[in-house]
Amino acid sequence: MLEFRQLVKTYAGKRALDHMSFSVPAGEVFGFLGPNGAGKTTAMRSIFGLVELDSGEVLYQEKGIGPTERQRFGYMPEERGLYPKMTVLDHLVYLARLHDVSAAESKKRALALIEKLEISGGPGAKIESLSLGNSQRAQVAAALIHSPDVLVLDEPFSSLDPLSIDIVKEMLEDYALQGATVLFSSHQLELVEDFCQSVAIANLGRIVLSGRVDALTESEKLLVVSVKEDPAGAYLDGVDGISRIGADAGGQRIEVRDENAAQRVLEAAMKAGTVMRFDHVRRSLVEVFRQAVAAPDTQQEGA
Amino acid sequence: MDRIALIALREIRQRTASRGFRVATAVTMVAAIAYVVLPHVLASRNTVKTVAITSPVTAIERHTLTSAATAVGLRIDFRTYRTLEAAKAAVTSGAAIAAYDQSQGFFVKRIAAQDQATLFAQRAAQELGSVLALQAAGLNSSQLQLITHPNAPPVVGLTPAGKASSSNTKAAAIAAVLMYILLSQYGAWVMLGIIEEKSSRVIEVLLSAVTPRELLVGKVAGIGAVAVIHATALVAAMTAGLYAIGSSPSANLSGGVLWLAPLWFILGYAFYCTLFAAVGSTVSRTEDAQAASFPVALPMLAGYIIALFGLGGSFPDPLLKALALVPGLSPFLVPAMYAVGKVSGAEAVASGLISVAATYSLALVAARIYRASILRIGSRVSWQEAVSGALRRGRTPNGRAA
Repeated sequence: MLEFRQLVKTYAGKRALDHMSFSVPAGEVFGFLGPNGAGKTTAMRSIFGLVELDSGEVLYQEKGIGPTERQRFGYMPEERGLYPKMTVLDHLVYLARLHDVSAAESKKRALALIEKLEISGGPGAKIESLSLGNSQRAQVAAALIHSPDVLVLDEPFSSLDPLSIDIVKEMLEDYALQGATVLFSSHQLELVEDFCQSVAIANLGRIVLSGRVDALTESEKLLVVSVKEDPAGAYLDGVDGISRIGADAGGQRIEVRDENAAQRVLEAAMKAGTVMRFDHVRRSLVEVFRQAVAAPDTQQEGA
Repeated sequence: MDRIALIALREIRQRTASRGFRVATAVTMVAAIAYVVLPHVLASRNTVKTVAITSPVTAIERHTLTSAATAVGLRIDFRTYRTLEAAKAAVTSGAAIAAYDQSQGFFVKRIAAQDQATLFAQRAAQELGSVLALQAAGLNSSQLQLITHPNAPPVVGLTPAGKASSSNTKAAAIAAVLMYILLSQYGAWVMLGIIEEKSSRVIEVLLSAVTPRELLVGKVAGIGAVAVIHATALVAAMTAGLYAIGSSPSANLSGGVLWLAPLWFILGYAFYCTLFAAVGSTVSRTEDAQAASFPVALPMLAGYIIALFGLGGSFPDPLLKALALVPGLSPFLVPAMYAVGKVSGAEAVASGLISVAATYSLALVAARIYRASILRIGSRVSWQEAVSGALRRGRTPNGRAA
């Protein structure tokens, strides 16, 4: 488990991390979310000692992280960068060798990653000749080349096309299934909701919400109702204890404020005509995110 | 393999494989060979100069003129022209360096203080005047022979003779030029290599795997090895050139210079690459590199200029000896001064020790500046910020104690 404990960092009087704490379990893909300036990158860089913290610490398996531990970590920074003049193969082998992987094994792994990530141009292509998407894939390969126990990726899906996203996503899922700790930040919340088991949402340097995605998006208070004869939902106008929050092809989306309100909604719908749908629905992660960052002072924890 | 060795090896492979390195090495090798061979070729082609005469010269005149030519570094032969005007025309056209007429005297194209023809004509005129005066005084030919071919007593040196003065001066100039070329080129490589790692943002990937110290030492060692390869190629080219003209390094240089110059190159590289590394870490864009490195380039340029021109007598010896102890200037001055005998072996060693001590102290500060500045991307880090960051105690980026 990777644990961020009470991290504090101030830049020129501005607090980037404000006692940020959360934990990343091993064996699953963990999403680190937050608006721009929330402190995600600063927190991730602190794992690698790239930021000098004012206070707090990052622990791995309940111990402090030093150069020896970092040898088993992989990192894809927000600011992408590899040596432009090196070939993809040479670069990956070089980085693997810096992590104490033997020469023969480094080459074997590099070739396998280049093939798996479908980096166009192949092993002999120079980094500077790669397209943005391929360069991004090479950067993912650079983080994975030494088979790290902990993988930290800052915005790994930005600039990737849908096909590339699928390839990288599949790799990260496989990697987590093998027992690795995978932490990544992203603004693509639909993607995060799709394949992360847990998330932490940061705002203004603090964690404002964290937990399993299933638990955070579950909501007994969110209903969708559809009446064949009244698709516009006029029958809902007189029902107490509800808020209409929108409509889509599935019907009217409403939030119920008390236990009996759902019963009142159902009765009103039945009076209005043929009830085609009456169902609890999950909140999207986007909704959860918006709500969480709108109230940064309260820290919540999902189940 | 050790991580520092891996980093150094990457530098060596990448740099030596680059087209820029291969072209620069080839061009400088050709220049080195040309520097050795060309003067020899030109000298052999222009050895014998013609003196235009209007009537056959006497044995005394021939001997006096030939002696005067030898004294100013010329070999001459004589060509007879029908008239004085024709002889003068030969001088004007460059066919002859001077014209001599027994009644009119010597004619040169233009009288100039350092002109070889002028020097020859003036010396020949003076010596010929003396000989003719002695002849007019009634000395016979055997008496004149005795005067013009004196059996001079020997002059014996009490300490071993040094190399010829011109060879030593040339060696001093070569040492200074090579030192400047190599130190400025490879110092700049260290700086630009660091800037490249910042500007390409690969630095964060690297520092997640290695410490700043490992990265810095590996880079400096790798580029230093490339510099040694280049320097060796240049020395090999010069040596080949010397053998090609029937000479050898030992015939032109004293043994001390042969080992002192490479040693001082290593000391100079260590000193300047440390400074260039610190400067490079404060800059994120190559376009800022020149302005940032100016304070480092300045002592390098000063050392080069003093070594090249100061040894000719522009600087008094005590001042030169003092400057040779100054770290940064010493890599240029000590080998050059040793070549011309202006610094002793003991003084060279003392200067070397000062340089090592200064480089060590500088490296400690530079490594801290590097650690404090290397992750600062964007605008240039001011010296004030860099030094205050370096002096700050406590944890530094990457978890190393400061």
